[in-house]
Amino acid sequence: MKKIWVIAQNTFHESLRKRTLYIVLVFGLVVIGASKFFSFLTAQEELKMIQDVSFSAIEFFGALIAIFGALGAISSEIEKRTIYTLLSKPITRYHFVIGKFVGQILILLVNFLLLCLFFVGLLLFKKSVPNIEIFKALFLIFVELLLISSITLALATFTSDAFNIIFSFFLYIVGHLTSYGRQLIERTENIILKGLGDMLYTIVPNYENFAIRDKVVVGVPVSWQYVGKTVSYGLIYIVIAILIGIYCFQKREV
Amino acid sequence: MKKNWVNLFVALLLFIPLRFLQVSIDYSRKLEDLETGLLLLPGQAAGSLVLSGFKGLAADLLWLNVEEYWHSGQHYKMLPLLEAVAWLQPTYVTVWAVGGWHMAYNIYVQVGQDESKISEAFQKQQETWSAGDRAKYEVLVEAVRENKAILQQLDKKGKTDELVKDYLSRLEKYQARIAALEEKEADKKLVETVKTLLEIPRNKIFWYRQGVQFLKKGITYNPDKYDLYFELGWTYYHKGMDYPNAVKYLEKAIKHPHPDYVDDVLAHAYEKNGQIDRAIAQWEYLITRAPSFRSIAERMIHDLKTKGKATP
Repeated sequence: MKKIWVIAQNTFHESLRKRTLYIVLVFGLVVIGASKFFSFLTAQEELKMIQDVSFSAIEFFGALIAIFGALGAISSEIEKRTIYTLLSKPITRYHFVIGKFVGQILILLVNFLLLCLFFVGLLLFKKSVPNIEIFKALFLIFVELLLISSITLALATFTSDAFNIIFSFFLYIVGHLTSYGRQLIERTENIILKGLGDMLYTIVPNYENFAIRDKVVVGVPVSWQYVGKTVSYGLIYIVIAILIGIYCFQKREV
Repeated sequence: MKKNWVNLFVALLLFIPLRFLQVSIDYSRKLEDLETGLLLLPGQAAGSLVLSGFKGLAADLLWLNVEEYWHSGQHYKMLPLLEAVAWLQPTYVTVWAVGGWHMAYNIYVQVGQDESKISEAFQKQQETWSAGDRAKYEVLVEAVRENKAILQQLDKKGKTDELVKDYLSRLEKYQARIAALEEKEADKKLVETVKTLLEIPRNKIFWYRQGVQFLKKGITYNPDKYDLYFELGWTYYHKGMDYPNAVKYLEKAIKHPHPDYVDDVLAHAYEKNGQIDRAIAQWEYLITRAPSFRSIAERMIHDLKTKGKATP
């Protein structure tokens, strides 16, 4: 456990030195702040716009931080050859992958909290006290970001950075479209196609599960049961991604 | 290495509970109204946002376009956008409310804004007519007069189904006679002018009904909120002077948590609908519910009891 924590801390400190993450964070804050310019709308419309823009910015810039953060976590260690020093110590590859992921969680948490604080501050400035539904939506966005990060990290154990970045973004878009794919599968009569579609529907991460923000901003309540199920889905998928990452990294020759 | 296979095996095995969990999540999404339909939108930016899961943001971009069209007076351009926003976020009641209002109020006014200008031009032309022209175009003069009367009645008497039926049948009668005149050697421009005028009440009725339909559609997506019942009730009451329907929807509005003014409007609607006793009861209820309404409610009750009429 201590070994994992040391790697996590190291990953976190290393990320703090990267300028890319700061730039992304600043962009996120600027976009959230810019939503204040909708003051020409009615108060209710303005509040909805602020929430929509902020949720989207937190998710989008959070996804960028998750992808770029996880992207270089393993490859940079290989490029700089620091991995040889690390793995020659009593640190297994299993510790290394999990440690890297825990480090990513810390980076995401810090960035996410900063964006959220700014968003909540903006709401309070507009004299709107955020309700519990807003926090449910934010929490699910955070779990989604962890999932994105874990998948990118798993891919980083066996692919190049270029492939990883393209695939992660592709997966991010496809992951939001799987529910539409399901509607198509339901209409298919061909058993083979249906089976194949079902399999894909299970394998591809369904990011749409986490997207409750569009409903929350218009006042649709979301049950704790739904939040619980979605968090469980996210956690199971994260475990799958990390296990696959460990498997691939064990097989990789460094 | 053997241990490593366990990682892969466990990972693959975990897809089984994941599958069951996804089925359960899909069911919950349906149950809790968390699903949204796919829509291919005009404009690349909005389209790509929808594809990336940012439906709310896409709806906001379209809403900003709606605002722009509204301020530039391009009401017709707003309609497909309002439909699109409503489709993207059907539980966003403001879209339905504002859309219904634009149709039943703003577009309703806009379709008739040239009426006086066209009528004046027609009257000026009349002054140049010979005695023969007067006899020949008598039907046009009558049609314009009737049209004016219908337009006034639309705003003063209202737009209940019965009244609308009457307006339309009166218009149709003239349309048949004008069609007969067209077959003779009539001034085509003049006939077209009158036909344009006769289209105005039809268009007004059309847009009023469109507004009502839009609000009704919104209610099907938001049956548990007072907002759209109230908007529809108010449209019937104020714009349509269709008091039975106004009462029907305002009564539905007060079944859900609502602000005090909904009860106020319902009291007025009861009175206009001839239900004086219920109007008095409603004002009395309002005094207990909202003390700030006491002075107006007491005056209304007094007027209703003494004159049988309180609302101007």
